[in-house]
Amino acid sequence: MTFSPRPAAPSIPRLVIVDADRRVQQSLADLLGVSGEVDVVGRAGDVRAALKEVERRHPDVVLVDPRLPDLEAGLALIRGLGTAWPGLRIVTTGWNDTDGHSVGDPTTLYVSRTGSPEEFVSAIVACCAR
Amino acid sequence: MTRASRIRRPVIQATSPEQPDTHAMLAHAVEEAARLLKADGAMVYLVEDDRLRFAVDAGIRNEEARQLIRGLSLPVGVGLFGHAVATGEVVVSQDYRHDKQFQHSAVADRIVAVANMRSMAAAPLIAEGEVIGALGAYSSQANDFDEAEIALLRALADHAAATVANQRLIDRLARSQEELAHRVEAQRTLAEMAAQLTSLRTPSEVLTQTLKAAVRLLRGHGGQIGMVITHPDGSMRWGDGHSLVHGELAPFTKYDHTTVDDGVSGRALHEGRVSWTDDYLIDASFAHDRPSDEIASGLGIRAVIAAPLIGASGVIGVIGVYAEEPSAFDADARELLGLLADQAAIVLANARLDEQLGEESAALARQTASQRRLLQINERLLSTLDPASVLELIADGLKTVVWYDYLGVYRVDPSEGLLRPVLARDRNAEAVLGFPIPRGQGVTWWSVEHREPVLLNEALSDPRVIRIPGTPDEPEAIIIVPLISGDEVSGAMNIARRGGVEVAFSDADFELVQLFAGQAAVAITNARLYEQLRQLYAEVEESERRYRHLVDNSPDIVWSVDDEGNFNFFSDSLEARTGWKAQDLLGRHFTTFAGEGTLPSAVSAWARLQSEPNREQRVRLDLPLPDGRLAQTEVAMTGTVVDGRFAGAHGSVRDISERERLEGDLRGQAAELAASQERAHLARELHDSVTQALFSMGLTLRTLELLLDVDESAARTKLGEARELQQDALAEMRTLLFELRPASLESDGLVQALRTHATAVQRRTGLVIVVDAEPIDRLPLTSEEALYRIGQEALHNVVKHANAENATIRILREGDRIRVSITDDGAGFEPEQVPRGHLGLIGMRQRVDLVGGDLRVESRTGGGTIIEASVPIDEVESAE
Repeated sequence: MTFSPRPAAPSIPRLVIVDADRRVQQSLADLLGVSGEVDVVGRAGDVRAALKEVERRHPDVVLVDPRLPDLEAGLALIRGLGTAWPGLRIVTTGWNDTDGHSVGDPTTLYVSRTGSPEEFVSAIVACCAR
Repeated sequence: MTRASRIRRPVIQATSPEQPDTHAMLAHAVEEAARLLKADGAMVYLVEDDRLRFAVDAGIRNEEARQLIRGLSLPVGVGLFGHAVATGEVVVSQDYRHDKQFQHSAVADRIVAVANMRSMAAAPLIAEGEVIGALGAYSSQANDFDEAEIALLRALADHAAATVANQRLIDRLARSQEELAHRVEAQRTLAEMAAQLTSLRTPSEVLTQTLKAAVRLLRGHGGQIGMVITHPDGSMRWGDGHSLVHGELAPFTKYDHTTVDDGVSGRALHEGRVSWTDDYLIDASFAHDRPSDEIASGLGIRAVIAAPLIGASGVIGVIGVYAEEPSAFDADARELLGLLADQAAIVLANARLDEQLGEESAALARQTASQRRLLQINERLLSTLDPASVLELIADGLKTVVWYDYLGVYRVDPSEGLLRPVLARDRNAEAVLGFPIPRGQGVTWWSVEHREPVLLNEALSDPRVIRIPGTPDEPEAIIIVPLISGDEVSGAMNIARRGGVEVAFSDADFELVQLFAGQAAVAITNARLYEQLRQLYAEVEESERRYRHLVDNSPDIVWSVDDEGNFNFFSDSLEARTGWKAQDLLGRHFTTFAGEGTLPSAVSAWARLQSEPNREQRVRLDLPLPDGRLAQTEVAMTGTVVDGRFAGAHGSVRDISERERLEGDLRGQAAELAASQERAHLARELHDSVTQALFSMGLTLRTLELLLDVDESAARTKLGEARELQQDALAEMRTLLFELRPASLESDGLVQALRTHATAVQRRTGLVIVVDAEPIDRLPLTSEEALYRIGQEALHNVVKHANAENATIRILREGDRIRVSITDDGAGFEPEQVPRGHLGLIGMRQRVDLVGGDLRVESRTGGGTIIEASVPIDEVESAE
């Protein structure tokens, strides 16, 4: 039997995960689904797939690890999303090194991966709620 | 007065041509007649040309009678004597003035009256049946002669006649003997002339010799001889000639070429034979010309004889001789002159032929002189770039073959439309030099514009001629030749002679002037080319000066080699850059200057140049310096191609030691960058693989934790996923760890690992690294890694700090130790002054200590560095 998330309440934010590593996509989607605080509506491993998912799923939030696999690709995606969907919330994530902060976009929020999984999920949920 | 006393010696000299002997005999006859007839006097008249001329008398004393009787000449039949001659009978008159038996003459009657003659008797002188005169006597008494006296007179007359006849015979004989002698002389003269004339070389000599001989042989007083030219219209005109007057020879030239149609000469020419007159001035049988008549009158010319000189082509001249008496020339004279003229004509023809030959050889000489001059001019043209001196030489040379009293050379000045004088010689030179001829004016422009040479022997009559200001308007002969070189008329040369037709230029002159003008054209063109060339030279000099400056001041050494590869040029920068002197290297082969390691590159570049000379080759060569070191150089070169053939090469040498150092530094930085990139790569690999795996594992474990209470089976699935993530992470960690260690050291051993590393460093940095190793047994990995890391660190230092060109790694066994040394030829350092922790020396020492070995560092500034590590084999084995 495979895991199937329960139907999300209409109020909870819809989220698309963008990460080059499929294992991270999977584990993060599982954990966020289990938490019940966000509805993970799509996942993407590169810029093209990310744009397709956002257009198709109309998420409220996009969680992006900018290394896609290069930082430049992630930054281009972030700028593109902000331009195409001005109301879309973008949350970046990384390891507190140069990666996430270098985005330098005041509209984007950053969630570090250095903490525990619980802290990580809480931070994401908090970002989605703002 | 007695009869005897009346007899006188004859005193009257007749003008008769009779010889003195006849005269003396007649004088004797009249004396005898007067004495024997007891008369007052006696006379003889002689018949000459049907007239009686008084010959001699005895007894006439009256002065008037003497005057009258001297010139008395009576027609036969007139007077008593004339009657005696006419009748052939003795005539006696007892009273002369009243006698009616004969026709009286007033003159004779007057003589009879003043001389007081009354009785007179005359007897004819009859010789050989011919009455030749009359002998008579007279008396102042009437009826003085009786019969006996008359008979005596007849007898005396007969005797005198016989005597006269004899004397005449004698005279004729004598004359014919003289004539014979004269003829002999004439013949001899003709023969002499024939001999003499053939040796004469000029017509002028033939003419004068012929004239002198003719005057002498004809007993004339003078004469003239001249050449005659038959014009196309048939008229005959005077040419050059000579006159002989009063014993003086004088040449004459009749430049006006007047026709020879008057006088005896004219008649002789027109009739083609000898012609003469007994008395020139009164002879109306030929045309008279006033000037000629005046000359004849002035000279007292009476008899004239002339003969034409007739050559093969017709009349060529005429000779005339005159005498101051009338009728001086008889048939013999005419024949003689004819002979002389014929002979002269023949000799003259020969002489003219001779002179023609002479002219031809003179023309040949002139031609030769011209050729020699032209050759000189040519040589000068080739040897000098100064056109002025060549033009002077042309002017000098031309004057030796074609005389002129003016020469000018003009240059076309197209910008101003002028003919500018560049040289003027002799007459009017200053005026010519001061007058550039405006376009279109004068024959010179005409010649330039029509590109035609012009010969004008009567320049004054040509409407094109202009007068140059400051020069007199005078007749002259001119030649103008346009100076043409290539397609262009560059100027004109003209020469002139002052005077009339007698200074006329010949066709040969014309040709010669054109020849010399050809040279002048070259000189004028050369002058322009010279100017252009001079500018070009100046430009070339300037660019060469600049080029030399660049060469001498460029950091490059410029060189060239011949087709065999031997150096034949170095720029002055050689010594400053390398310390070599050019003379030490010139002539040596290029391979002498390629360091051993780079010699193959040099040789192959040389081979490529020979096959493709125009393609630039660039090679790096080590150039040995005088102190034995090698300079790193970059050589750029291209082939030298002469006439399509490979003839060597030239190029530059640049010292790239400095650049190599800079590049070495760059390579060091690149290596560091590569190292940091390597580290970044590892970090990224860690992040991308292991980190993500572990992160995902954390998330999965948290999910599993949340599901444990909700959905156990789901939780169990997550556990399985977590385990997979852990295995992934482990595998990735192992891979990364393996990458951090030289795998080749384990598999291939120390020597091969160092060779591989050295190759990589050399490839990356350009440092020449020689690995000199003898085969050794494998060592424990720790020892091998220690030695490997020391070698690696030492090479890193060489690359990074030593600025070395060569490094050597030696690996050898020495007894119970393995020794690894790294030697370089770089900057070196003072080991005591190296700050602690620098150059990785401490790390090296720690590593070697760990395996029981030693480390030795040997270096000094500028002297390279040796780092040597040795580990004991035993120690290694014991450590195993």
